Amino acid sequence: MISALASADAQIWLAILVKTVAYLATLVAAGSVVIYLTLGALTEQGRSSLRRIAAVAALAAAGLSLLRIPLRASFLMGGTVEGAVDPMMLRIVAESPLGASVIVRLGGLALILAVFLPGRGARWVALAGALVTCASFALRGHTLGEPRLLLGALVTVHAIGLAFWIGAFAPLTRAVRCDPPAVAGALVHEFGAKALWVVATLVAAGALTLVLLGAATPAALATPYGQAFLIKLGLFAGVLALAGLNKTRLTPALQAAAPDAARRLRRSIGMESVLVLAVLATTAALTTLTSPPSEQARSASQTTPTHDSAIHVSGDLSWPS
Amino acid sequence: MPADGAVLDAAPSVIAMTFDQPMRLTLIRLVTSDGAEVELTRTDGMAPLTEFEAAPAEMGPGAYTIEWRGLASDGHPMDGSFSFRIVE
Repeated sequence: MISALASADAQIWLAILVKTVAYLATLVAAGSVVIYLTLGALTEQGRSSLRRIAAVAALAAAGLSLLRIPLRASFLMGGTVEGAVDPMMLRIVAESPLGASVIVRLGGLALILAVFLPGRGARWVALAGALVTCASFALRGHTLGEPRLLLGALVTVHAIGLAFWIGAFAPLTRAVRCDPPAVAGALVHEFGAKALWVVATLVAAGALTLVLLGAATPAALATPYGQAFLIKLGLFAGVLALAGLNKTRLTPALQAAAPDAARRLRRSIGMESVLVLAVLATTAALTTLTSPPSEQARSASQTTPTHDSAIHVSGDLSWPS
Repeated sequence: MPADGAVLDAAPSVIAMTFDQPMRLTLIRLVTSDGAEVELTRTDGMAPLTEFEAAPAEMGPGAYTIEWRGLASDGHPMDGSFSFRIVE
């Protein structure tokens, strides 16, 4: 994995960067709606702030998702600017799984904007948008293998769990900075209680996905895909450790209005968000540079040689004597 | 076959590639060691294929590299290259 990154050209690095930021904006947009609807302890100012964050993130995610299409077209034409604007290449990419995923994501992100409309019905529309947006992650990449429906469902659940977690960073930070300790403490406590179930589901969905992709064996962990997963796992362990510290020490301190508790909790949430961003970047690199062992095994088991070895050069050939 | 790195004593009349799943070859270039491009004539219309062929223009002795990029049927963008040498 490290060697693949070291040999990657500028275009690959740009693709990874755009994918990472697209992931972040998409999950913040969806997560903001999920948090808006699931945390009852949010103040009115907190809700107002979340609506704005959801809208800005949705618009950013839409732009970044669309950007991936010309970037893919450019890659397919050798990394040229002409390729990025070639109508035929853009059509080919738009008709590929990436295009389908982007279209579904744009639809979900548009529905998220209903969070600004009055009435309870609008909130459910926005929630549907958040769920559709998370489901768009399952429409491309390694989840297109078999069992496709199960893999798609697991990736969607995993994305919803991530969205819940990522969507909470901004409102929790705002509450700890702006609201009285008792009010902020109640919000953080509620999030911590619900996050337990969300994290358990997120981990279970991720683990089962790994098993289905053939990446949960010792041999698989030695592959670039497995190495990337181990990096992701290490970062996630760091996130869990910080989350545990927040729940067991810093949240009770905040609720007790202990001196400096708010600053320490804000800093811990900040560190948690940096680690989560690193997880997203690792995932972007993993899905750009590698493939899971199940896909590699499928290629190797066929009697027809792979593209790497079946290069035929035919004609009036004779070997030199 | 020959495999990557083959040494030939005559120019090939066809460049062919086989893929284990349909591949839409979006870019294929045949270049010399100086980076000059040799014309390749393809008739696949950029359709997804498992067997691809292209006819190269006249080639003299020297080292050549095929560079290609494509879109697999599962949506993965792929690229690759291989080289061969024609000796007198």
